Amino acid sequence: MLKTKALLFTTCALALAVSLACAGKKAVRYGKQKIGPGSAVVVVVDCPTNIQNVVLAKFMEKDYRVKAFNASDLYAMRDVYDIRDFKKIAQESSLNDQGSPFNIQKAHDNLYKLTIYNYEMQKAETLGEMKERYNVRYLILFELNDWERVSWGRAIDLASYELVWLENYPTRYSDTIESIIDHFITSLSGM
Amino acid sequence: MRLRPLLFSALAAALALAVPGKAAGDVAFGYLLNRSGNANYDYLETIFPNSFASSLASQYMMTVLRPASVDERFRKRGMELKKLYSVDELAQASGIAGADYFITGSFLPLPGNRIEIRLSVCGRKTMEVFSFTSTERMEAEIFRLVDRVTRVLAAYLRGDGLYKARAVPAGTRIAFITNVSGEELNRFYIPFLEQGFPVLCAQNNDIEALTASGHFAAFRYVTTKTGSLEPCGDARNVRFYHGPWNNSRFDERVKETRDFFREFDLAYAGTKEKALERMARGFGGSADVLMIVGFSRDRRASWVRAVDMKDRSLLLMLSIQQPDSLFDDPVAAIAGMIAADLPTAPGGAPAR
Repeated sequence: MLKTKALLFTTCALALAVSLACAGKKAVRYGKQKIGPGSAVVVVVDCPTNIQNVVLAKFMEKDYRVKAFNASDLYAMRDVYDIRDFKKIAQESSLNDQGSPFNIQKAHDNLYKLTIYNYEMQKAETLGEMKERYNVRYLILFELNDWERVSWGRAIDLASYELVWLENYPTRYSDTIESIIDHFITSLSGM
Repeated sequence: MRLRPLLFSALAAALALAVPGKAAGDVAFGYLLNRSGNANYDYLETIFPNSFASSLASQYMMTVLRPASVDERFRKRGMELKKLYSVDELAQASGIAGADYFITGSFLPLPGNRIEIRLSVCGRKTMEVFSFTSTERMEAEIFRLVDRVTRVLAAYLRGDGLYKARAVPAGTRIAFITNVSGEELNRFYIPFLEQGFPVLCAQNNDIEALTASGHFAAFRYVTTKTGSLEPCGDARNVRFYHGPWNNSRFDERVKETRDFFREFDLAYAGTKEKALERMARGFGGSADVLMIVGFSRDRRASWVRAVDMKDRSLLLMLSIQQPDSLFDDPVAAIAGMIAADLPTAPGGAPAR
């Protein structure tokens, strides 16, 4: 009787742990418009060049017009987040002067916020340039992960700056890079 | 024996009833300065705070201190309750007033029978000041105006820093800045997209959110023309020591520091306005709302700040605590709660 209870308890605990752990690993998908073959796309994927080639080849196989673009061409945060701006706020203040540290922190925080706004603004401008100069319609982002983790993708329509497709795909044990990309292409093309 | 189940039920019911709602703390009111220079309106300097205090006490059961009682407390310390306080002075004033919150402000009668009311709410313990501007019609019966302003005050005081200027209908295009990225960001976006809010690519063109540092909490403070939440510091208090040791290099450093504080503190609202203007242009005018959402490390708590990108006014301040269910993904659950709340009209304070 005790054994059965222990078994039941362990099963319940395991089920609870599994369901809690899986809450964030669920597959999710949203598609607002189809991105079919023939579309001019830039694909950004965070992985070594040889794997990037596999991903790009898959898109080219399916007749997408893949524009040559390197992720590092995108405006990087470190280009804007200029640490030199912060040196001017190094201040000496006495412990008796309670106002000063507050003021310094406030100005420092404001500078940080402006830097982030600036970064987002620069990105928007870069995307605009990508659309105008290189005639790109969609920017597609991927992060590919191993089994037990989640691979994800997002697509942005540069005509409207809107997010038009996204998917989280829990990578299966049997998956390869090709099969994951095939899955994503099928999903974003709505085929 | 038969009474035992009844006893347990009664005990459970009593416990349930005894669980307190969110206690807002007590509120002290200062005067509201008449900014018009027309002495005919001076009587409102006392009428307004007294009316707000009465309304908070009667409608929201809050403990209030009227300006006369607050003035008495100041006099006991050999001081006088002023009509106008700077953000920096508010911290000290709220300490003397002795309540959890100290509220003061000003008003300006406008043409067309309207009135602009600016209020600042200083939290004595948090040392944070929430300020908002409300332009209302001067009603024949002042009670309606008082009710509307009190509703905003009560929502903030009892709703864990809640402020909502208006409903945000589905179809509004939102640009997000948040400290989640990758697959989590996808789960965050889904509820907004499903509720019909187009999401702009403010942050979804990164592989990693570079805002994922502890510093992101700086965005909790917000500054706009119509509303702000800020710490009680004032750059004007930074002292620059001058003396015989001054030389050109020292003077240059002082000048740089002064310029820094001017740009990033005193004139921050203007500096930020320019940054947001350029950001709006960057998105080709397509961003309706800029929404900043900060998540705690365990993702079970978050805060929201939203700015209307058309007129750069404060739209929403909201704090969301841990979702009810243990089984839900907290990021998606919190995003769902925000998305569901957006189209609802700003109501009164949550029930006690």
